[in-house]
Amino acid sequence: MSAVAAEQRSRTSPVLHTRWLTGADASGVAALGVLLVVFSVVAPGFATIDNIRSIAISMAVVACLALGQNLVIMTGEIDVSVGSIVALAGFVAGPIGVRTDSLLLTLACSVGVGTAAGFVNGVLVAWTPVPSIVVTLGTLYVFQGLALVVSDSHNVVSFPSGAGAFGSGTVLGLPHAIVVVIAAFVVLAVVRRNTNWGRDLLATGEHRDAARTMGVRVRFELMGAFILSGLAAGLGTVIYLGAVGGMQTSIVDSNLVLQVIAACAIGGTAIEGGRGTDLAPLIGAAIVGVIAAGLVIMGVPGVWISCAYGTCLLIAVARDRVRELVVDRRRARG
Amino acid sequence: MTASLDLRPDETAPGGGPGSDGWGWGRLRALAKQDHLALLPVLIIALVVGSVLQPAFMTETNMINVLRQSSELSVVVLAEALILLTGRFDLSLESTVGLAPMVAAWLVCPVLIGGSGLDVNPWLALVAMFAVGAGIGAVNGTLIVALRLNAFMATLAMLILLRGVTIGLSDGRTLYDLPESFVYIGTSSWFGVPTSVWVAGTLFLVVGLFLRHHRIGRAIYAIGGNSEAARAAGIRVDRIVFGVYVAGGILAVLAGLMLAGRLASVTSSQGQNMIFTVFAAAVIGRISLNGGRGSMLGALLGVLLLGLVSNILTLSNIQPFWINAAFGAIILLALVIARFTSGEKDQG
Amino acid sequence: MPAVTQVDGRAQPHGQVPALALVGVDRMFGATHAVRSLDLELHAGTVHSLVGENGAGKSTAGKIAAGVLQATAGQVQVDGQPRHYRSARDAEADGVVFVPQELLLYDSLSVEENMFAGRRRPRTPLATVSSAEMHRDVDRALARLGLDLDRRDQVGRLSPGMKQMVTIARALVSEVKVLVLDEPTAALDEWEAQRLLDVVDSLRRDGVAILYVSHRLHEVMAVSDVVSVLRDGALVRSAPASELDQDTLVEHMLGREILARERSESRATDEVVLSVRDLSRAGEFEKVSLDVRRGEVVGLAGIVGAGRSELAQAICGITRPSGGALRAGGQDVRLTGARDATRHGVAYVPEERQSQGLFMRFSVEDNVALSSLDRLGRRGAVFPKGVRALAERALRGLDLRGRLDDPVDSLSGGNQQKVLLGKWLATEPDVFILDEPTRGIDVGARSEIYAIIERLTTDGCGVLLISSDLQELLLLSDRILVMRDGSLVAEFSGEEMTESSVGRAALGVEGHDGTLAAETDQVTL
Repeated sequence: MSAVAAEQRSRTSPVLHTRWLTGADASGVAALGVLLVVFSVVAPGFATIDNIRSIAISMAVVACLALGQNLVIMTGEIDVSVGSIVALAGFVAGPIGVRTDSLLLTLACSVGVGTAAGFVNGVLVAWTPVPSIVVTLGTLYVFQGLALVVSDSHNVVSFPSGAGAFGSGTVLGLPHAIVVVIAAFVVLAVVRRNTNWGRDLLATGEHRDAARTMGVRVRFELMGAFILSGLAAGLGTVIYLGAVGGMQTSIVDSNLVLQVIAACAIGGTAIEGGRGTDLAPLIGAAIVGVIAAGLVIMGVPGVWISCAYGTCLLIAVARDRVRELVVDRRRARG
Repeated sequence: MTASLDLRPDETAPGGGPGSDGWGWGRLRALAKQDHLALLPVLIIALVVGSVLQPAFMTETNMINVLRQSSELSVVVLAEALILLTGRFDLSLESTVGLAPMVAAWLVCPVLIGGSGLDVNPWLALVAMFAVGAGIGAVNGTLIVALRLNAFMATLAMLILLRGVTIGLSDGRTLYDLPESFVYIGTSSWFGVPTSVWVAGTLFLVVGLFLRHHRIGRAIYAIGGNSEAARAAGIRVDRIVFGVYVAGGILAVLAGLMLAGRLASVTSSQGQNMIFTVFAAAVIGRISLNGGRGSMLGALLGVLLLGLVSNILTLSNIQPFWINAAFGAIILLALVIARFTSGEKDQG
Repeated sequence: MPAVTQVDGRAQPHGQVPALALVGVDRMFGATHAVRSLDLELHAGTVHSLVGENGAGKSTAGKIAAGVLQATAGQVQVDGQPRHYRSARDAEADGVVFVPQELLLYDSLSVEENMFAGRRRPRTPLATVSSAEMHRDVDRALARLGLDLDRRDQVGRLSPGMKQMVTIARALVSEVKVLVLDEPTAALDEWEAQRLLDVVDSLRRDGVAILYVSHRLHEVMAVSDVVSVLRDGALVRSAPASELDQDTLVEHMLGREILARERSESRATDEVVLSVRDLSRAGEFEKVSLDVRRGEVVGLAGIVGAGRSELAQAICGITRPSGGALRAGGQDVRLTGARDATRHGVAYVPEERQSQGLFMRFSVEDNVALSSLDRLGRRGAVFPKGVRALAERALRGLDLRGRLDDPVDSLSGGNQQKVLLGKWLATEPDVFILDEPTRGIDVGARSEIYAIIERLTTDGCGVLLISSDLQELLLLSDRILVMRDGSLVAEFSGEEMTESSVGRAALGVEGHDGTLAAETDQVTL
């Protein structure tokens, strides 16, 4: 028989603060710090501003998309169509950017397309019994197909620097791409903490039935998450257009979405939903970017970078499992 | 109502909470009981539509073409279906399709082309190739069964990792000039039908029979249907799931060999993005993503349907780039219909 | 309408508008009439309990009161005004809060996040979410319950009792006028239950109106001001607690109809087919000894949590016992699981048909044959003819309504149970351990199952029958053992084997015939 209340006190080590940085984030940042130090020592030329800047830009697109995907994963769903959304947004907004050299127009177009795509995903996931992985699998093809139609098999090239401002140039020493990503992070984090919608995301992913019964507007949560994921994809497209200088039809062959999911996972968001932080996608993208760049500087042939990527993810998965085991053991004891 | 004293705590009200009446598809479900045959009418419709739209469709050449092009995908779908039946996932199959043949080619090809220069005996290389596939399957099995890692993430990691190795090994190049033994399956024909089609067909037949008529085959369904109950019934769940992953790896290697043979080369991106089509075919083919339900016949029909649709679109007068969009829309439609009529309650 | 007056000095203003009232409430689920024309009044500062059997409609009534379900006819009135709640969230805005029986909590989130999930959070003047105010509300709610919890604690790490407290604290975050508790002590041990009742009492003194839905009669008697008994969805009696006692409640819950059925003659022999000696499993049950003879039906009675299913699972080795001995099939054995048990002639038919016994999407014959596949073919080969023959043989005489190739989930509960029995019959056991074999099965199918159980004994099996249905136990058993809180506390046979004697032993109520000592865990305020 269990004892009285005093002895029923749970382990009170606070797991989830209400501050900006949680325990999980802290370990992620620490890992990042360690990596930075290690690479600076082992790889000459790593710790230069130029190098850091180029890492940041290369991972900016992934980071931006990951910020949106993070919300979806928190609700226990997944959006594998983001790669196609980027393609579609790119081929719609790209030519407009080329013609008008207007950042504003390009941004409006790209984000508009992304949001619309996210809306479609959201409706299908929230209002049909089809699981999100199947829905976004289907929309992956649809958006991809539409992208190719719109592209008319012409790549977008020579993207002008005006419209491409997100991809190049600096402000206060920071590349525009980074500023955009940080701004997106701040906005999303503020939204997530200060709206009922945002605060109920994790509940939706953790225990869907409880959420439904106990007052969470589940459909609303899901719609919002997918719309924001599409929006983030639209934003990331603008960065891409500026950084890469256009959009290629071969983008449909890339595994952008896998990198995005991996970034969220490495950063600490659980794929089953119900656990995650705002910072996780950035940490994950940063870790991957640092490792990739570090290895390149160390002379590792670029072709082996994906390997490192996959190993990272594997470590992250193992880490999650270990965490689970620790919690289980503590629960058994307590 | 009974008049006996019922001392149990009250269960939820009869019928359960909101949505308890289900989707009302109960009757439809009963009709579609022959689950795997549900696709047959759709397939027939596709054939009819195709022959109406295009005279060139219903020709022997075209049909054989469709079969040949679907054969590699179908073998991977077979592998994934087996794994799905046990209630698990494997995203890394597409990378195995690329890596194992790459390893074999690497062993055999001279340095000039991008190989190792080791000039290994082709037959030995083939054996090594299958060993690699089995090995990858074993690694997946260990990660998921023994270490109980999340199957989605672990195989995602493997997908990325293995693709990386493939690219690294070949330095991003394409290996060609492959020996006769490599390309045999992909290029030859028996009695007018490509060998790859014979291979795929036989595999489906064998695996299908195995699942129905062998104890382990039934155990696979049991594991996917209800792991707990399966274990309680004495089924060796862990061993069987591990075996399924290894089998999946071997099948993926075979698919890779067939593909390499047909293209007479191994590219470093062989199989890339295939996993999406594999899942689409599996879902359309009524393989349940939760495990325990689905048949090999269904999976085969799913692949064939995708192949037919793609073929019809290609042959038709639709503008080339609408093909992709149309293909996507049709898949989406098929997926949604497949889910609605399978009557499965969504997890979310 | 029940007239509620002064109750033992607890202020009970007469004629005051009730905090919550159900007026002529009806609820249908498809064709089932779950609640019929229910009139109920709930006054501030009182505890009104709803009791009744499983299926009597008490839980449904509670959910309607709190907006979780909607009435199909009739009205819910709050402070005299009709209210149409479309969801629990609506009701919460009005101060009517529901605490569910299942712990609908989010394990990965903190106490505070759990308490605010799904509700409108307090705002600062800047329109951001006010963490400070949330902290204050949470701390206040926790303090009000006297809980020693930090709002940052992760809920998944709490004990079930603490989790239940959190769900109640959740209700107190906003102003609560009416609290509906659905079987709040179902998952709690006696100490936690006592804590809970203390909390209920303190809330009552604060003026909250409490609707307490429960089947635990001693708790109900201890904490209530008014008790209403439901039977078959209708109100049978509603009176101040002082005018009632547990026996009366039981009478009302049962009603006048008694299932007229003759007990058949005992077919028990002297041969012991299963013998359990001092079996223990830490935390579940202790030193249980019993024998089952060939042809005998031994009933095992007790309330949920008494340890009966746990005993059965330990006997079969599905869970490992910490001590004791077992004798089956003529040998001393230590069983290692269901499969192993069948090899020694012990067939265990679990309580949870779905999760533990049947593969719902598989056909009848596949299910029946699954545990006997090694008998069918050589080298693992299995042929449909063999499977069908096996299934036909096993199900012979069970009168299964359904074809052999129908998926099991298309069958009614009764037929599903037959499939399960058939599966174990195919293994040709000496003793059957049946855990709640008629759970969720309607009256018609029940008598068929009873006939099957009797047939088992004529075929020479011994049966250990675990059931919460006393009538069923009395009808089928040659003798009845009673478990309570992990120990075997009584055995009844012959004339002593009556509903009241067994019921009391199971509930831990002082018996008239003095067969039981006064209960130490009898809950008092």
